[in-house]
Amino acid sequence: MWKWLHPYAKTERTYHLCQRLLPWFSVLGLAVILFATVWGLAYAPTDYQQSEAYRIIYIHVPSAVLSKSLYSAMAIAAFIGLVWQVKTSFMAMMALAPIGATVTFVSLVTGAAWGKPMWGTWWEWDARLTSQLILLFLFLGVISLYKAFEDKQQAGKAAGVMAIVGVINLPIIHYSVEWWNTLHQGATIMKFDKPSMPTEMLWPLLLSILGWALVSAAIFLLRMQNEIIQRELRRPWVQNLANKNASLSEGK
Amino acid sequence: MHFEDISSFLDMGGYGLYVWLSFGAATLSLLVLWLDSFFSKRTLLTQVLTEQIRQARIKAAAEQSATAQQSATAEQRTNGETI
Repeated sequence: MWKWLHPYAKTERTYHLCQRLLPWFSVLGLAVILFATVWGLAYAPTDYQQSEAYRIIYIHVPSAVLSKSLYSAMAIAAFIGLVWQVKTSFMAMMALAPIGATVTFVSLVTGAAWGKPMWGTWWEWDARLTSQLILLFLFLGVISLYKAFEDKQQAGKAAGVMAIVGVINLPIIHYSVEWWNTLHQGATIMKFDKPSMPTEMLWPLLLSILGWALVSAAIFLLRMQNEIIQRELRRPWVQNLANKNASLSEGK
Repeated sequence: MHFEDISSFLDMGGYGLYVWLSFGAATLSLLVLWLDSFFSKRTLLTQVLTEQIRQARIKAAAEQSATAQQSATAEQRTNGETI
């Protein structure tokens, strides 16, 4: 009944919901991420073992945490899209994929920049690093599979299946530091125990994770709108929107 | 503030290159992603407009040719009658 009731209203409403939430998430996300980064970079105490190099943690960990969360979110969206045939869900999946890919890329780059002074190498083919690289390829795979199909409903299904199959990589990433001998250190905060970190270091870290999450959410809202416009190019409400937008920019 | 002055802040205890490389790469990546999202929205909206204009033009052309055809047949008919 749902599907029958809202086939037209749904994307339009989602678009406007995104529009309403976008400024809040953007401003809040930017504020939190800046605050946490400055705190982590300039005010947090130094590490007794790694001295100032440990400050890379304030982007490496948030980006790594977000890469996994975004993948989970993308896979959930894919699952909903496949099971309940919700096309908005596939749009959400495709809005999340580029953000996830970027964040995973950042986690790899910062990991390399941290590995060089601490392990003496930019890259090593060990379990954690390799599984994280596979995560990046999974994101890119979902994006390119979606782009390969002309029919976007088909594309959503194919990319969705790939996203769901790739979920197997998430526990591998998480437990890779326990299952295999690896250069990478074990979990610091994401474990069922007290975090092994002093609070003056932990707070900016938790805040920067929050900041990254908010910024990712803001970019997601923006990309979600783009996906909706792209799929609904000929709908009257999109055309009205474009007209209004054009007259607004002319007025400036 | 944990650091004494700006140069020790930039130096990061000798790890400046790695720390600033990480933060720079992260900022740049997020910025590129955001710019891409922002500008593709503008591109899409202009695309909607051009498509709209194109559709209007096609419609107008179709109407014009339809009226032209109509008048042509009407002319033929009147020609036929006069002859």
